[in-house]
Amino acid sequence: MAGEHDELIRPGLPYRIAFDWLAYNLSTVTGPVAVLANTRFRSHELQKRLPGAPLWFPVSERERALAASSQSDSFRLTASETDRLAAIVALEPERESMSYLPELTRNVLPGSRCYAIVSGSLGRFLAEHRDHLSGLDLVDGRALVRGMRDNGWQITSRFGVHGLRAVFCHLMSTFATTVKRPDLQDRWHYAMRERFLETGLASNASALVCLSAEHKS
Amino acid sequence: MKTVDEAVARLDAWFDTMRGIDGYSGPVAHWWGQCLLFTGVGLDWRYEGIIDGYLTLWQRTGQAVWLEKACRAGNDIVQGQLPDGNFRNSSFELNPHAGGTPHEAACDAALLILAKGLKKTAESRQLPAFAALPDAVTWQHYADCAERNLRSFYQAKLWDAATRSFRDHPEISSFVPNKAATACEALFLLAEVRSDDSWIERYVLPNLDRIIAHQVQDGSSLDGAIAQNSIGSSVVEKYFPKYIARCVPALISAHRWTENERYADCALRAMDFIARVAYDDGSLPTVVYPDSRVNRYPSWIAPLADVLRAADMARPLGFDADMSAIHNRLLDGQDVGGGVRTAVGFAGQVNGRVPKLPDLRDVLHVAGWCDKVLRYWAYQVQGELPVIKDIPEMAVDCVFHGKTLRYRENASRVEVTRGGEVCYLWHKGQDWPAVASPEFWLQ
Repeated sequence: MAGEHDELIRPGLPYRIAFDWLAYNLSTVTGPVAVLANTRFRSHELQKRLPGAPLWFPVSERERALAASSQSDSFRLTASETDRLAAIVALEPERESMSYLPELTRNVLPGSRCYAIVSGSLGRFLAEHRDHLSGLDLVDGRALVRGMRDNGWQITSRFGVHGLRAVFCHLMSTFATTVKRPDLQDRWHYAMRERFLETGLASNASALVCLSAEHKS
Repeated sequence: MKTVDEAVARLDAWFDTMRGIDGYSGPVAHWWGQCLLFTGVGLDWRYEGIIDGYLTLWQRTGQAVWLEKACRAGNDIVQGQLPDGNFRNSSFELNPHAGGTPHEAACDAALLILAKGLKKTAESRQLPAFAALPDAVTWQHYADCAERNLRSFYQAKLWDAATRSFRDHPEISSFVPNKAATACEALFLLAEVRSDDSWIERYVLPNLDRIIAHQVQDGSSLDGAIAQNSIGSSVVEKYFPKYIARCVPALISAHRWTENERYADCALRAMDFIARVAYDDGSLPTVVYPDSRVNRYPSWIAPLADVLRAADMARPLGFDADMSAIHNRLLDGQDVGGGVRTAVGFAGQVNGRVPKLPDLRDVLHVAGWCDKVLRYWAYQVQGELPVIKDIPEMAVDCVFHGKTLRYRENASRVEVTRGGEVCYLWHKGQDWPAVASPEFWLQ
């Protein structure tokens, strides 16, 4: 849902944590970073965190090229744009944008990293999914990991944001509101925030899953 | 015993270490959440105390260096104004994000205090100190920036004609008394600088009337408390003494402006409530709930400066409670490096249990809290401040999410180690820490 005040709408807590994690990791990367992000919401949030960083959005470039030529095959990633990629970022990519991964991967520098944020099994409950991502053919976590591995990326770390423990605490906070115990509402709310990150298997049952990977080469 | 003059000199030296290329930076700890990853410049309410504090130091000492620092901070905001009138990264604990409340109004108030001070100086021809400034700044420069924000954001996007008050978000019918009060402080200053009373009649007084409507006035133990916020017509009955204190300056200005006793009565009731719930050690409950339950943690230290400022402003109206314990708690909260601790007991926010060691967020020195201290202490400075050449390193053991850590801060960095291994490293002025282990990703 695009609104008059989009610039003033903050992402919810799960996305804020995920985007900040991403920006923290990319802040030390020198060289161009290719970002697979299909909505302005996601690309804007990343650009806001890394002003002046050499972020490059091939899908957006492609969309612009399509709009200009109306020829779906007219866009190609050129060597000058991609032969020095320091990192690749996938922000809840659509199935179609994953087709860029092989070509991008061929152009990464040794030691490059790939970072991904993908919806977990609880992702559909996020407000941003209703407002920005509805109708998109998003890649699920399993397919993303498979796609990364097929292209030589080895997952080195993974964590989930807003998992089942946080959901439980949120429900308790809501219940405390219902029984008019605002003190307990606050305590459960902050208990939720302390339990907002999940690792291991629990990360899959989260709203968002964040992955980092290094290339085997 | 440490004097306020010494304390201010050290605090100023600490603030100098927090400057990045284009402003004051640093991590944030707050009741609502922490922001430990984004550490870049925030054009948020940290500037209200920085600008007011430095301007006051200039006015009290006559030393041009303080005016230069006030103007430099004003320039940070002017240069950080976005095309739509909002300020870059104005959301404090929610940074990086524009459109922060009450932060943008706090920046406006700061710019207008500066404009007012410079205008007065120019009119009285006290030009030598002003002429020493590196750039040919004028008071209009700052007033224009503030007015642009107030018009394009507060007037155009946050003003709710139906409730005749400022919303907390353009698209949500919400009202937060302390945030509206900060906007009212800015508008009082704008009216004064522009000699245009219409801002007060049209926007300020209706907001303050709504703040009064959020105050408990029933003679109960909560008498004087001001509810934290309302969503639609539903009032959220949580009472934060620190935020209640932030309503007081605008109410006092309204009393001065209108001579209507309702505003003075509201301000005095608010301060009486705060004095009543204060503990003997100078601490305050962080939040008081309707059934007299409280959460004491995090028990503020640096943020107490806003309470003391409000108390001083209310004294001419008859407020006479002894606030010396709070004053001493604030003074004792300053560390050797000049920064003032944020709180005691962050670790007890959830369960009320406070470990022996302080929480990392307790010992963190936050620009957006220490500015309140600078502003409050600046008014008590007696003369030229001692020169602080070196900032000693501060080191303290602390806990964070159940782990024992070692916190170190010096002029160039904040470093946290666990068993000798670095788990957080922020080079001051940088937008992001060089090292941050997962517990620091939480907000």
